[in-house]
Amino acid sequence: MRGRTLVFPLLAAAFVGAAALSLSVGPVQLSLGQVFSAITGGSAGGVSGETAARVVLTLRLPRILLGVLVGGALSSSGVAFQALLRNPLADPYILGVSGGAAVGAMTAKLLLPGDSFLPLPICAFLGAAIAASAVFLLARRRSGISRERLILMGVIIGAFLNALIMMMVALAPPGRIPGAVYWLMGDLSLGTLGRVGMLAPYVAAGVVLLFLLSRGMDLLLLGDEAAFQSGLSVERVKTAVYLTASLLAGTVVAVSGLIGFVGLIVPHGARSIVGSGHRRLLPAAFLLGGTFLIVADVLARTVGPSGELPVGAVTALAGAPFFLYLLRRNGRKP
Amino acid sequence: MRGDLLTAKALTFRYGDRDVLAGVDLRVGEGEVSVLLGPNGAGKSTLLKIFSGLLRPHVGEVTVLGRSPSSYGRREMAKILSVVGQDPPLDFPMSVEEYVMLGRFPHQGFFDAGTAEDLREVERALAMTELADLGARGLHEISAGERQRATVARAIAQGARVMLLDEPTAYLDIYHRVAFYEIITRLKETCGVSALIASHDLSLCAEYGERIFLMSGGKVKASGTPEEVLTPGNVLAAFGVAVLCDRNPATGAVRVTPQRKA
Amino acid sequence: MKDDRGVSVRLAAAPRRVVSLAPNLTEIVFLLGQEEKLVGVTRYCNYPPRAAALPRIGGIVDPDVERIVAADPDLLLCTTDGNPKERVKILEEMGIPCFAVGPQNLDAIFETIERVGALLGVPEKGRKEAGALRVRADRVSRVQRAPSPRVLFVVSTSPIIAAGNGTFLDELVRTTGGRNAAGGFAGRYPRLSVEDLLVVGPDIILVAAMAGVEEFSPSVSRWSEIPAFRNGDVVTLDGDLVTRPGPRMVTALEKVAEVLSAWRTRHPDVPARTKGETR
Repeated sequence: MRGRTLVFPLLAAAFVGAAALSLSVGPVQLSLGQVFSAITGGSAGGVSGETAARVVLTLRLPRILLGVLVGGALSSSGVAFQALLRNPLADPYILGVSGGAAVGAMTAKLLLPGDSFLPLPICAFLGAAIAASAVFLLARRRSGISRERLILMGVIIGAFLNALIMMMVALAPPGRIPGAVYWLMGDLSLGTLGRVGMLAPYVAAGVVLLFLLSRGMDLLLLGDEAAFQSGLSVERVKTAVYLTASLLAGTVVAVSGLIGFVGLIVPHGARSIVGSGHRRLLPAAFLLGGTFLIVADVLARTVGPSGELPVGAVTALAGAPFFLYLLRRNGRKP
Repeated sequence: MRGDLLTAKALTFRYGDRDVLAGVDLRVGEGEVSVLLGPNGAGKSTLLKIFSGLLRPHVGEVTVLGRSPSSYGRREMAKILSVVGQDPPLDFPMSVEEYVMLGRFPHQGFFDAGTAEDLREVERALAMTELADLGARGLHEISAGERQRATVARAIAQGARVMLLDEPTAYLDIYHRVAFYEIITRLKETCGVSALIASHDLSLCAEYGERIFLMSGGKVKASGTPEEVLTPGNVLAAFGVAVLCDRNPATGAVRVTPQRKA
Repeated sequence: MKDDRGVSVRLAAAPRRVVSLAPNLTEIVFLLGQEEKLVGVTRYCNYPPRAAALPRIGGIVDPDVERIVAADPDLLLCTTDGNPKERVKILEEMGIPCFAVGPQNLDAIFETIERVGALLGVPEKGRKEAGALRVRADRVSRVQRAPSPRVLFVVSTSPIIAAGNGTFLDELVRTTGGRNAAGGFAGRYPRLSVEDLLVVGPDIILVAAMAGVEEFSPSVSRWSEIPAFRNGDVVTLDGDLVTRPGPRMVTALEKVAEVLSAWRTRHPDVPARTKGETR
């Protein structure tokens, strides 16, 4: 095939490279030696060495770890939704997750009294879960869940939630709005090692579950009837894929805000490298997504002259032209 | 008497307020190539979907190997019955090999990525459908006829005892239709796979079918060998077309020729 | 008289029914003793306390045209910094004169007070009040200015959004002898990461509390490499005080000067660091 055995080591190498880049780059100038000693637990000596270690370990490392988890989770979720909806333009937010998370987060940021950070991820996650469940339940009929109904309900509920968000922004006290808007654009700086630790098991569980469903997703691509007749418990698999992918996306959005495009284009990038078989596609998408987001975060931190750019803006700016390139490269069909 | 593979008794299926199937009785035996012959709207597709478990009848009884289709687990059923429908969806790039490998699903566990046996079966299926050279090509890169053969290959790889085929030659030209029926016959002869083909292609199913069930208006109007079923009277009643039925001098099979309106 | 848009506003006589479309303008009217003439203010106009009792005609970016018209004003005071141009235009087309101002620094504020005074028919009062404010501001700027601390003025703590060059907050810092720690960034309100704070190393952090989160999260404030956190020099100021280009901006100036003086007493001989100040 296409050099099957080389692909994953290459992806892993790219990932490590991106992580190393992200660790070494930032407003605080650090030498590679300092970065290295910080990671390996030594100290480059002196007060500034200790500061360097803390910068690397408590500021940069959590961002990288969060980037991996978020980028990987969004990409895996994107792969799953594209299989579920048999639509190459699907992304993890398409069925209510983003609108619900945004409403939850906005509620926490704009309306709740405020200085504790804790309610935000919980509200965002609850919002995502409620919205995704609503879409699912509304789309369900006795005959099962058709993808047309899913998309339809997703659009309707999404529109409703967007209206809610607009209303909340209009009614909110002006001082709170900038913070809320930045959240909407995605933010990896909210990561601490503690939060990463909390997030990791959920992402791991979700990704593993999707991997177990990979044959099922392959078959879903045939269409519901053909998949059924090939021996797949279609409704069960669809439900499992939908719930897992939605919860994966909802969980990471709760921590990092809405980072778009990752879940849409990384699956395509991964597909052009390893093909459509989900057993290979899912791990490839995870690695590629983590790498992509880390690089985007590096750009977001270093490119803007007026401080940090929202990472969601960088992914969107990079994403659109990349998507065009992919479409052209693959010829007629994406 | 040969084993009964599929049976239907007084089968009724309603769609809205229309009876798509209005009391169907039939029996498909093991080791036969049977044809569900009838015009559009006669209920052929619906009947196939009921056999495969996709739809449930409103009235009547249907059995697969003596049991109701819904009593089987999905994988179990897929090892008994495979279905060849229309073209595969082309939303995502997939190679012919990958596509045919999907047919092995009922035989695979969670972690089987493609055992040696799976690969063998896929190769065999590709060889039988004359697609061995096209294995690595993408589905969207091959012709419609080749895609249809790939769908058959997938069903062959599935290794079921009976294959249900729903208007499989609808978009194929005469060359590919003939090739298709040859594959089905070969499958029966070499692997003992029975086939139930829903079709409205009068001439070819007369040539290849061993048992014909003539359907119209949601009922089976006649069943038996092609000679027994394909009479001008039956064809006129079912299809509304006047035909001449004689024998093909070369093969001896029934030959049906439509008559022009005088 | 020309307003800040360059539009000439001519009034036949001193106005008797005035609507204010921004809190700073309301404060100016009260300062000039003309509050009797106010027949409509925004919902954010809360100072002096008596202003809270006045009839509301909407917000700053969303004034309610109908309510304004119903109040039958003969002068509309608007700000170029936030009032929607289209709605102001509609009101002008209905025959209500609109005077728009948008002072960008302290001097402009004083000047605006004088102009509004003249507009409202009390030019003497306008000059007097503006003069008093000028005196107070001068007094502040003549106070000892060394050593010069690096001051970071933030309008949000999560994310950290600082006041950059060209903002009022920046002017407050510079007038009181400080150096704007966010001066090296482009843009008026740059967003800073914790690493940026480490590089910039502010000696004093001022937080303009605007009904948002007022305190830095512990993961930020425990960085003792940042002098302001190490020495506890983080001061919260009332947001209304520092974001309204009106008379109380001078009060804000005085408060900031107090903070800096207090700092100077505690740190009499901090050397002027130049390393790492600019990016």
